[in-house]
Amino acid sequence: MKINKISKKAQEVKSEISRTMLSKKAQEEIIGFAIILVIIAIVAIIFISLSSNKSESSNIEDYEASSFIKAMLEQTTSCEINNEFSSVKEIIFDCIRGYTCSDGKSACDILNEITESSLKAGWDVSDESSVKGYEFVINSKKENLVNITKGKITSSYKASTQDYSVSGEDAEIYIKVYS
Amino acid sequence: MVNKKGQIKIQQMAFMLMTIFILFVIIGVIVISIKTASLKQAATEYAREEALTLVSKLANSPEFSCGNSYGNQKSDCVDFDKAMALKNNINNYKELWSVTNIEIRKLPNENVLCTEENYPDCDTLQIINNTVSGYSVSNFVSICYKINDGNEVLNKCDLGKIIVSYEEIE
Repeated sequence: MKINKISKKAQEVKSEISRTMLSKKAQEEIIGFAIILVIIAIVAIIFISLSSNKSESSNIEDYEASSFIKAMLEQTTSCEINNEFSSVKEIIFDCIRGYTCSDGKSACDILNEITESSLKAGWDVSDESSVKGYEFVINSKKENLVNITKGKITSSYKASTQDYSVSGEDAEIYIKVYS
Repeated sequence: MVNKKGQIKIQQMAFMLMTIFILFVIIGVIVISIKTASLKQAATEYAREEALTLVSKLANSPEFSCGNSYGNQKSDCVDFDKAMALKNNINNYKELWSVTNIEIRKLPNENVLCTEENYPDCDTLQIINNTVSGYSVSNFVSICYKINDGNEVLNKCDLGKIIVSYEEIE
């Protein structure tokens, strides 16, 4: 009788252990599945964020800085010397030689005026625009003729330098456009 | 009892397989949608590259270039008089450039459209003008034209931009 009781108790304990074992195993499976889901979700998030965070290229094209200088230099100015209206390129050398226009203004003043207005018209500098700032310099061998800086100086920029020479006089035109 | 346990196991396995299948289907849909979007982006990027190449060369093409008409040979120079004549005969040239818009603007610009009546006292010349949504690329050019100053004809050049627009691929 006592042995029967003990054996019954042992069976109950055994079935209890097996139930606990089964439940634990199911829990482990669920946890394993959850871990797999979490890993897949993390990988998917990384993949999506990487594909959408492609670095945006600068909106200023490589050729724009150099074509700006070229186009600006061909402009006709209001400075008349020897019955002809000078272009910006000509007026740079008129400025180096210290010439005065027929209206009494110095060639250097006209050069500064037209450079400033061209830069203002050509590059829209603002926080919303792709152009954050610019630096424009015209140098002769001896002196700095024009030096205009506007906006912010950033680490990303497009630059161009062009050299011109007329009758032994040299001029260097340099632009740096920050984006 | 053993039979029931086996059934539960099979059920578990079926659910597991179904879940994994659904999961892979979702991932597949996401990947396909991303690929399709990037394909459209690549097509638009190709159109942009083409427009960029065109805009950087257009000013030096025979249809627009100044040549020797304004003194010495000028590069990146648009003959405004030639462009105006081209605008009047654009139907013969439309197929030459596969872009939606070509526009020449003097800078600074007050958006005064060029017509035969107000030329050359205008600042925007629309050579091709199709109304479609898209993007634009531009390049600086010098815009040269002849002006009549009483008894002589003078050359005048202004700073300007040539703008080429291309259609967005949807």
